[in-house]
Amino acid sequence: MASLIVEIQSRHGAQYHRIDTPSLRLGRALDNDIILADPSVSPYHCIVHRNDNGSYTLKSLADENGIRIGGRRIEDPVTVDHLPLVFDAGRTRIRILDPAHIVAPTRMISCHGGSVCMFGHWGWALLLFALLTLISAFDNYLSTPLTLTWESFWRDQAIIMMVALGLVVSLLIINRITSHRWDLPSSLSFVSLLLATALVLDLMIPYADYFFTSPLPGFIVGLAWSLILLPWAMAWFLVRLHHGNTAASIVFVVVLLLPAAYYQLKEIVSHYDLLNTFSKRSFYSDTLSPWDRRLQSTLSIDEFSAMSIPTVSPDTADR
Amino acid sequence: MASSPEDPPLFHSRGRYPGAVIRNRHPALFALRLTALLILLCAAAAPVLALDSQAIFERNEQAVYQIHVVNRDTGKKSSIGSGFIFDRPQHLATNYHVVSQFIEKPDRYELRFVASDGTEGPLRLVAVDAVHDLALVEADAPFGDPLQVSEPPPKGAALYAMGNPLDLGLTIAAGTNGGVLSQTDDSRILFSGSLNAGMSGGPTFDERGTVVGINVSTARNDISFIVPTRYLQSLSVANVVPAEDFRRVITQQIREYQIRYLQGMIDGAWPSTDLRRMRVPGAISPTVRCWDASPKPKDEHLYRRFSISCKNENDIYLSDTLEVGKILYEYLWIESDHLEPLRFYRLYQALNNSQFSSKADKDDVERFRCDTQFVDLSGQTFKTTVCARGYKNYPGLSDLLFSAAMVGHDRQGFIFNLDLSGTDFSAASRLIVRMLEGLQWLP
Repeated sequence: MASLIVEIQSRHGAQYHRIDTPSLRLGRALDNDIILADPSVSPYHCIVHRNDNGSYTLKSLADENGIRIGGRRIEDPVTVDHLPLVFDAGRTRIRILDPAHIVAPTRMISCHGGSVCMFGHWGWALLLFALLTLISAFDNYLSTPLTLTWESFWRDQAIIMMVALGLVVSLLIINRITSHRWDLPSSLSFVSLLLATALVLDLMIPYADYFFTSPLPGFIVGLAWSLILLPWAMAWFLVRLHHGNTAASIVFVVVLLLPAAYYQLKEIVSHYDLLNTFSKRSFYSDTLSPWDRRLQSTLSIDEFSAMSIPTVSPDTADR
Repeated sequence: MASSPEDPPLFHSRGRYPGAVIRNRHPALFALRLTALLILLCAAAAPVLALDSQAIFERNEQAVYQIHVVNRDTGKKSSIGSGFIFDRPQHLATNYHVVSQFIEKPDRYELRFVASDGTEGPLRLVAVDAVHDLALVEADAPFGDPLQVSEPPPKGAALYAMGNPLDLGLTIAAGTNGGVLSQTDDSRILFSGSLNAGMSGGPTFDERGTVVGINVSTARNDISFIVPTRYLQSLSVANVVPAEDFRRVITQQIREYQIRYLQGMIDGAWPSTDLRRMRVPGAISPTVRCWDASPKPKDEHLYRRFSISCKNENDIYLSDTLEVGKILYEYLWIESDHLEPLRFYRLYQALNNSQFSSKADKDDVERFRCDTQFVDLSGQTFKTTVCARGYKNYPGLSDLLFSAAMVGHDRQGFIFNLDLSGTDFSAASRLIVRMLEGLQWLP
């Protein structure tokens, strides 16, 4: 059997040691074969030694925190037969690996086609950011029925851009935590794409609302956005692009987005009156569109009086 | 100084006997002397017929009582008003809003009277007229002689209102008759004296000392309102309504009034007003007043907005969170020469946000139920919404919200909003339809 590899995981990455000697002692004392700095590791914590038949045995040497496999404290020596063997010495996670262990795919720095290109390339990052600027400027323009002055327009635009850049920085930091790397182009691309999508959806929802004469499209899109699309996009970003640990990434995303998602959900429930609880507000489709495209046909006053008005009567007998 | 059958006799307690006949042997001189006497008589009669506020106060202070709504648990007054002996010796007339807390929660509160000499006692509710804000209460023992009532004097004549303002003690406030107000559906007289909280339910006297009205409310300093006594006459009833039934009685009164009131509007002729390219109904009743509500235009605006706002002034007090009988409607016109349709409609949509303004909460009313349709009004298409909610404690009364926004024009918009509170649903529906028929597009 070829020599096994010991991987020590720490915040700064992983260290790797080949087991060349018949025995390998790990601990915090400075006369160990592998020296660990973690204070929860005992001075002489554990030992991996090669047996006569070529297999390896892992044995705990210390009583304080000991060895845990799968969370369970192991007192007796363990034969290293199923690789990778993952154990904890104190708070340090250690893996014993087979040298034939298949490693994660190479992360391409410059891509050769494929949609993932968008998130690694400065060209794409700047293009997407420009697209975001254009869409937000368009939205800003639509919301301003005043004579545009450069200062008022740019002031509003600057605010939007600051928010976007703030999100980019937040994502950068999350990135750094999960993959130990500062990756500005991909963060910029991702934030720009997400915000641009949100803005476009916001622009289109009133027309869908008008078309169906119902607040339902807005409700569905809003719900899908905050509960499905956004968390999925973030998790995908962390896992696929940065090869972060899948479970950890998902947990991270959920914890990060949970307050926002909860708030969004509350807003949607109350705005679209889903629980039918009392509200002083009256809920109705109040969107208007310059293109009068809709499913509902136009009624005469008599038809409105006979068909529509009775449906809202508080007296159930009338309805 | 018009005389009426209830005029006090010329034989006044002041002791003069003006009807003395003067004997004279000379006919011409007799005629002259008779004329002089008549003149003297008229001059003397004037101060005799008109009382001053002191006299009115002294004559009537025994007949005006404080009415307290007392919390049964604490034994302390929660709200106060006034009342006076009316129609029967053991009956006091007062306002509905003075006793409304008791009607809302009869197990929490009780009614008591306090006389000017300090004696107290319990009161029972006999009858109410919620529409005119009147109530009749009674005690076991008689209070005294009921006060005389009569029709109000002419506009400008002196009026004297008695009551217990701000719990400071019984007083009398002087003022003049401002006339019956058509905007209150003739149910109020304008009084130029100063009424204050606590005087509600007290009597208002003319200068002969007869009751011509009952104090009801004030708008601000020296602008106060009196309910004319003719509405009190309907309160003289023989049967006592049990406390549980008052809500039903009140609902019925208000509903019947609303049906009459709205039907009167529907059947009447309305003046029209032009708002740019829409001809719209103006004041649909003498009780409705319309005002310009256009916002101030600014130089940087790339659009023009005009608006008319109309409301009635005869709302009915039901409780501190419910004022019913209100009618509010408004017309908004918006147009632009410079804005592209997309930009214009952003603005237009933002204006289309009619919500019902009310203090009612979930204990008073249900949720709004709405329906939105597209309706053809005068050849133009309108996105139209009607919403309604019922009253929990007064089943049969509803709030209605109606909103119609014109679509189909690139740079012109028109919105018509109508709110009705505490009304009858069918009558309100008919009013809405009539108003929609009154909208006309001017090509």
